[in-house]
Amino acid sequence: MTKSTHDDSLIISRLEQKELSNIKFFSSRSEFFPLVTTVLLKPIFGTLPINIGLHLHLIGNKIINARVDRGYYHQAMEQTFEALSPHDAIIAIGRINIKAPLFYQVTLMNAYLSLLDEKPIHAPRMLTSAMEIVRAYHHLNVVQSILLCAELETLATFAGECELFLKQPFTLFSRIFSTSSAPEPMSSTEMSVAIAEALQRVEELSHAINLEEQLVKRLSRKGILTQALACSWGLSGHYIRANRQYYDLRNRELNLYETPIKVSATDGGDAYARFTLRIAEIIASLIYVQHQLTVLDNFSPLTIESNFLAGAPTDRYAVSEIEGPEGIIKASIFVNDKEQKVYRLRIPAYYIAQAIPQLVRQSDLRDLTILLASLGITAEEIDK
Amino acid sequence: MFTSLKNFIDSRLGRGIVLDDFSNDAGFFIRISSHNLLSVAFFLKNDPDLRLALLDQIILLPPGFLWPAENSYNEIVYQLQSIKLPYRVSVTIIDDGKRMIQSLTSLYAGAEWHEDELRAQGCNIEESGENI
Repeated sequence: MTKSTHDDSLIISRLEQKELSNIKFFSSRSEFFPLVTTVLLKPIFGTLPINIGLHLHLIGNKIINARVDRGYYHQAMEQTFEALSPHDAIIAIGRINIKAPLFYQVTLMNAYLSLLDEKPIHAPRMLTSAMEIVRAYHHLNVVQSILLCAELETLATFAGECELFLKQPFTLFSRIFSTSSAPEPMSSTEMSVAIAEALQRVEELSHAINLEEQLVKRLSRKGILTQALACSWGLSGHYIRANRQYYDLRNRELNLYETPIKVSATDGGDAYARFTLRIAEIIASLIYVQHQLTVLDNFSPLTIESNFLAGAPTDRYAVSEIEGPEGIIKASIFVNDKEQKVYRLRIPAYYIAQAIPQLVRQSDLRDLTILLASLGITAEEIDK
Repeated sequence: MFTSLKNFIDSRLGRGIVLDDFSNDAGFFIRISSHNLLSVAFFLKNDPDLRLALLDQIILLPPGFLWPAENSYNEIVYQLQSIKLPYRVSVTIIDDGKRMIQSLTSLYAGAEWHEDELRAQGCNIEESGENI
């Protein structure tokens, strides 16, 4: 929403913003290659005024080449942190991804803790359980989008019902709250029931999806990324694990994940391999949380005080990284002699967006929507 | 497994490549001359004892953030990691504006957007070639 201090007529509502940012479709014939049609689709992520578009070069319906049109790159979030206290920065970073802000907040919080040489403030089991609940919810959201794009409405509705069982735990743990704004805690019984119901339904969903040949046709051998290509593009997470590599930071963060979490890998490197990995990770996350429930008896939201880490840094460089749902999230903080800080965030969506041309090349135009839905990223994450 | 990246590179590529070593618990952190960037990056990516095939990020720091304040040049940090070995490496160079910094897009396709942004902020990085 834009606002001028002088002219209120410039204020427009979110609804008007959405109406103004209709998807634009421009088409032209190439002068030198008459068979090639150039198409611009904009925006391709969401309808906020962050217009990220996609130039496509087509022969018939086949995408032979693509280029992402990402416009002006803001980096506003990283610059904003320089003026904020650690508490305010951790609360603010949640805006990068309103659907799963916890991972970014935990990454930045751990970077601050490392910079000040402090111990973790939240019990590992509670923190990792919260992250796995948010991870499962995020993946379910993406799975539902993929099923809708594949025109499997029944399965998509079922995925939505699975999400409903996780809704309350997700609302409680989706972010780190300021102590003044934390929601009410859940009882252990409510949490156990929600996780058990969600797990049962996800396992049923997984079984139903395995029988669905249409989904295999829509995703198999599409959006192929080999391990070497994925690394070259800076991709991590299931882009690596879809190429038979059990690379997952959760099994390296042994001080955080005291109980190892099951990490799956598959092969093929295509969109279907990554899709099956999402289902497997949902199940692994819920089983992990269910196991932690036998030990945890307190499900209060994660909070930080307003004077959190208000001390002088003990080092000039600190880094923290977390295995997010779409790849490695990393926060680096550099400090100079005058204790001024520079922040840099590694957001998986940035790399995924950059690799979109590689993913959609040689695909049919009709597969574009399902491929974009399978990425699981938002425009705000790309833009930071 | 090695404990000093500087010594490791000295033994493989020769002395004088690594100018400084600031490694700490956060990972290996070395400084090199900008004209050695592409060759060192090639080595870090392809050496079987390193395999730093994943580009983490490329960071532009204002003058004086890593070196004394009298240094008036921008500092560029290339963060790399290995998925097969437990290594995180940050390679830093100084952009003194006198020579063109080599593009890493021939090694890491994901460097393209980072380098575009660095050029937009005034860094002297060579163009990566034909854009699609």
